[in-house]
Amino acid sequence: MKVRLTFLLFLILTTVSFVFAETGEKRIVVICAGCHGTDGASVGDSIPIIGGQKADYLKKVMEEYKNDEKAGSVMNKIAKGYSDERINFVANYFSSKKWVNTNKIYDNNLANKGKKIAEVCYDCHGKLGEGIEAYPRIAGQPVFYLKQVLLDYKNSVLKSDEMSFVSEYSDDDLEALANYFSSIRR
Amino acid sequence: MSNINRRSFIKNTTVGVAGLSIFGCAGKYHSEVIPKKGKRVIVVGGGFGGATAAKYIKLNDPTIEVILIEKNSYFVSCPISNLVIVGLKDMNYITFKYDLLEKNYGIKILQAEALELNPENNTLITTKGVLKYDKLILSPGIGFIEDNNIGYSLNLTDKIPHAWKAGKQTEILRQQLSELKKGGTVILRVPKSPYRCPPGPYERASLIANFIKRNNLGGKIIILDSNDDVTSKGKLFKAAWNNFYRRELEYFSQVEVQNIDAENMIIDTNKGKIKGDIINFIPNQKASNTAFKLGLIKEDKLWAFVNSYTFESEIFKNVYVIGDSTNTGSVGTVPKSGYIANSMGKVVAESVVSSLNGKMPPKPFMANACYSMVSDTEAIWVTAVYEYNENVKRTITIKGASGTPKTRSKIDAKHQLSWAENIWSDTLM
Repeated sequence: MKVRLTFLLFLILTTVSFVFAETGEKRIVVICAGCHGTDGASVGDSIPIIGGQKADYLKKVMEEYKNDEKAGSVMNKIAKGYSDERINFVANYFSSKKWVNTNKIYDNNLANKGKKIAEVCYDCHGKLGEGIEAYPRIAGQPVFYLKQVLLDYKNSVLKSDEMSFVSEYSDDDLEALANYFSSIRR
Repeated sequence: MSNINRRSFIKNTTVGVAGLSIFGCAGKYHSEVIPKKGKRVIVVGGGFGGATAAKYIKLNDPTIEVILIEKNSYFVSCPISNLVIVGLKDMNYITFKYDLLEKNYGIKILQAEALELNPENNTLITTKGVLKYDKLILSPGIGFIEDNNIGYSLNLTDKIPHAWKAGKQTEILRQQLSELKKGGTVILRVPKSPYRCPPGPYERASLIANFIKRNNLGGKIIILDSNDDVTSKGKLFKAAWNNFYRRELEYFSQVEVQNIDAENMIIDTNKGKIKGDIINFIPNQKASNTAFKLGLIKEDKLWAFVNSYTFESEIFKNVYVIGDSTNTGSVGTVPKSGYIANSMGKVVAESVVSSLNGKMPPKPFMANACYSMVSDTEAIWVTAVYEYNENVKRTITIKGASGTPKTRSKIDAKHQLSWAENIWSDTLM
């Protein structure tokens, strides 16, 4: 009898702590929505969509912000509030959400121009900009955001070996690339 | 609620009598405006706190009935209203209907005002009738302190706007500024802390200085700050003022206003008399009148004290207070900002949903991110992440996870608008 009671108590306790942990973790992601939109579906044009983004990429970016290896705005501070375990949870949570394309407009002519030079991106980001492992989805992000990121790589605000190719392109070409990948909304 | 209780309750409260006369019909006063069937949460106040709470209750548990009570038919955003005042954005950009909360989440919107609370019977009386609840969340915003000793009353606000609640007041100040004569003087009074949006007055002052400069008006803005120093993002604001607005902006701290002569537009202070063509007097603040009316404020206090873990009122069970009306110290170290109200809305949503479902709510976790324009093209920010701390029983800043940028930037001006569009969508859509 005593054993059964203890077991029952154990069951109750573990159930309670499981519920506690699960909802507690959800609370650490809902606060992101104030800037990134509900479930990461950002409607702003300079703040990226993170709902439906690649988990490996989100994890990598959060770690880079946390360690000041990547320049950002508020994210360098905010990421420091997240342990490795929490970063994992945040990355998996947003990755599991549905991708909602930006509703910001793009320029059709620039998108067509961008398509002609887009091949350089396929190896890492996929033929449709859908993202591969730690390389992010870029299709359907707002034009402004994509253009800004490309220019930041060109001007060495952001640094990465894979993105160093941008130095060979004009600002106009980069704008065309941004329009092309933003135009892929599927 | 029994008739006997009801009668004695009305007898003992002036609000009750006022309520009766508003309806002019006792039958309506007694009847439930929407009869309660299942689990129900009522949210009073459709700002960043209340609207977010209503939406996230539905996201957490769609079976709970949620009624959002708001006296205005539109949401007008305080964030970005400073840009409207100087003509960089229009009123439409910051004005929203509540219909998507109804359409997307099944929240019932009731345009009404809360009149009185009967916490023993979980009943709220509004201008549209009586409502029963299981949980009541109040997010009523701020109230202003009138001060006869210095001649300040809210009757003056058509001439001397505060523009610290967005809407008609925003339009009045925008209109006045658009008519500012060459060489004119604008006076901006910063209220004594704590007040809604700590960096807000300094952003407004920066944008007005920028407006004067851009339009070659040759006038200036004078900041009369009742605090010891700039209360938020101080170094960054001062750097911008020093770089851009040496002619257009003058800053005075520790200013006590002694008298306001509205007719002659003269403010008398401990540092001398100043005449203004425009006076933007932002009064000292307290919890909203609704919080006082419903009995949520302890005697001699100005803000609502809450349990930092659940946001339940220290006075009434099943009644929760969030947003600017809360006493900061009872919550922790969070500022009175729109982002924090949005965060609190999510915490209280989980708190009441957990409680209604017999579960333990998780530990509060919140964030603040807030951008301020220092010119028409550049902005600065402040951010922090907060977590409930078992030792101090308050929600406090996580070490290292807070701060401001090294300098202002153009990209942060873009981020401010994206931030606004996202927090509006997260709160209202």
